[in-house]
Amino acid sequence: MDHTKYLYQYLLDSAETEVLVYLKNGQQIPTSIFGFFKNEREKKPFIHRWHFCNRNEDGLVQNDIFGNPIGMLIDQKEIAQIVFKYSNKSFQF
Amino acid sequence: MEKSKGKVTAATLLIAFGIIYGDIGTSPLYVLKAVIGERPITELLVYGGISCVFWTIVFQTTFKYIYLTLQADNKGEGGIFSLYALVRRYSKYLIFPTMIGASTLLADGIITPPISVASAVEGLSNIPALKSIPTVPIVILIISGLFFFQRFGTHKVGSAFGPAMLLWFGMLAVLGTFQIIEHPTILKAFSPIYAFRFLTEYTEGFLLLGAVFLATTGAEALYSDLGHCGKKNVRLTWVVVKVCLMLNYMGQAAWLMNQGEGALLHGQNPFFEIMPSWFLIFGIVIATMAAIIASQAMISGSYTLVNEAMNLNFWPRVAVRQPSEVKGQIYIPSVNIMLWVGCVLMVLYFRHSANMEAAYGLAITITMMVTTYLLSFFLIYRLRWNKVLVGLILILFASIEISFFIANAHKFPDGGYITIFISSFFIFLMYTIYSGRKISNRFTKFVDLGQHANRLSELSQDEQIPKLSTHLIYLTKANQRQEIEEKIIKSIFAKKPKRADVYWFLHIHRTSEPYTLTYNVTELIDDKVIKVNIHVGFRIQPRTELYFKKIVQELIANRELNLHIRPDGSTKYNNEPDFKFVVIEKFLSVENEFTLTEGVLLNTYFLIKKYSLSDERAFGLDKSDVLIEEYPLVYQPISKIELTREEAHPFSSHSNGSY
Repeated sequence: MDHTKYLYQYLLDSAETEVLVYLKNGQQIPTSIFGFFKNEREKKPFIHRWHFCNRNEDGLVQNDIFGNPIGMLIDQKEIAQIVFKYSNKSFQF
Repeated sequence: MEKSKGKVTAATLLIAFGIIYGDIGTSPLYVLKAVIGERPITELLVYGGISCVFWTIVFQTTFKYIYLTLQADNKGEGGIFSLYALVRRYSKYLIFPTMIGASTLLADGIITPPISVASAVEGLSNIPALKSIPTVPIVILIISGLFFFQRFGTHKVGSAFGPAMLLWFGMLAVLGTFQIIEHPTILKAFSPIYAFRFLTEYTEGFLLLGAVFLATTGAEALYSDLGHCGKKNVRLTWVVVKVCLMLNYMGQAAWLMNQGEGALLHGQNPFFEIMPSWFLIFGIVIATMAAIIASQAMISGSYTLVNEAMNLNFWPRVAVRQPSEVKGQIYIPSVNIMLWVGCVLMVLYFRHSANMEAAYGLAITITMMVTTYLLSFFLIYRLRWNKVLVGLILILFASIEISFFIANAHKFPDGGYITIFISSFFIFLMYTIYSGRKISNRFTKFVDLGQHANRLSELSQDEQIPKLSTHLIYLTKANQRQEIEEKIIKSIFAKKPKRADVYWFLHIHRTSEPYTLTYNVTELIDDKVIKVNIHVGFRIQPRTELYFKKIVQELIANRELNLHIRPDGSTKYNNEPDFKFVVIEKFLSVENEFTLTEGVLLNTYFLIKKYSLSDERAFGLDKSDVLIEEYPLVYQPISKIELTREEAHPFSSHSNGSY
């Protein structure tokens, strides 16, 4: 079961982006999903890397002065679980 | 179109004769000459050799290609890429064999015109007055003329191909029959016992399979050309062609037997020797005509192969032209030049057809093995044949084709290395394009378009920002309606935001069916943000601008779209809608940390891209109002930078004038 595919679909179907990311090293990061990198068609996981960013009160992504979103790229293999903040929807890997 | 291809009429049969059998039909020009060579004629050599030729045609051409492989038609189209498109979903490991098979087939296309034309023209040396005529300039002249006229298409002369090939096959049959009457016992060679004895008892029997194989090299081209006439026409005409070919092969063998035990050929070609001297000049003219038609089929086949490779993302984008109104007829200038240079170099290097025989066959055995492999997937998964039966078929053809491969590999140092070298170059090219694109796609960041829809709407209505265009159209790789590349969002919002009334996102999806052309539309914000997916078959050259205009017209006609222009379709000054396309081209940023393989692959990929057709021309946008932007591909960002600020010093002596 490739749960990244379900997470991807949930992300596009719902307007929700705020999440709590649990890394395999035990770290917890409250953040929001900004972007994603798809894997090759025949390879798994469907999404191999996520781009997480912080948002301001208006829900807008905070950019640096060069227009790049402030945040971090995390490989899917480092993630243990992602929980959506408002719906409490959880995806375990 | 499907129906007309399936029909069997005198006209369709004639077309099949003219297009399908060029390569395999001209094999009698050189097969027996290659088998006998300068060996003393013996019953075992001649009977065994001709028996092997017959059984090769039975198993390899008739059973494998005419009966089995022709079943694997992709909406009427044949060839290795059509077969791959049919079975690719069943295994992710089919891509690399397909690249190898296509590369070897393309490399083989460089040797077919020289060997066919040279074999025909060398017949002139049988005419006493022309015995020492230099054939190389004549062959180069014919081949160069053939390539020069490609740009004009074959629609004017194409109708003559069928009757010309019919004349050729008629000539083969008649000439062969006269010789068989002189030595009727040659018909005993139909017995497989002679083939068996040849392989087991004749000293070089097994290695001579390399020469025998030349009788079936055209079978792969026959499958590639399936789309021109349909399998019913191919199967019916094959009966006639096979009889004519065998009559001629048997006739040549009969003539050889009449030379007596121990005789040597001394460079004679039995094909021309069976002609009466008064007919020789006519025979050479007909043979040259057939060789030109065979070469034409191979050149057209190469265009189709490259076009399919390009549309399946295995080949760099190159210009494709349509020289006539005939559907499916294409002309690729870069491939034309590549083949012409390759063919001329082959003629200059080998000089005589006898030398070319060594280079011919090795590459195509690899293509045939790949076809067998792909075919087994087709039989199991598409036709749902019993796996044991398919396994037995696979074993049978693997044995035959591996034997041919080993025999042909023996010719490697004598010329086989050339086609293998050319094939290797094509494999490298295809692999680089395929892998480079995959890596590039893997590191393309997508975002949820829905998250940006409100900002797009806000920007569209912000009159403080000058309007760039009424309609702004982006090409996107995102196939889901809700997603989009981040670079597109950046292009719209960053620096000077691009204000437009309507934002279009166009996605071209390549299908596994050859001639699909459909679309669907999703409006994310009514008349403001529109996503269009266009599904284009792998045989079709995309004409994005034309498709887009057609879609817009249909949406307006259905009252699904308001173009923000006056009801009569005009603005105050003109009636043209204001469309602007934005093409974002990726380049490889220096801000990367690669492994050696990745570095070589991506640098080569972007280097090839630099010299390929630009995106706007490849998508048929060159006539439109196009804005081209460049965006860096950052594959592995440099993660650690040790940048330390120094204490400011008013009299620093560090500066040496460099930046």
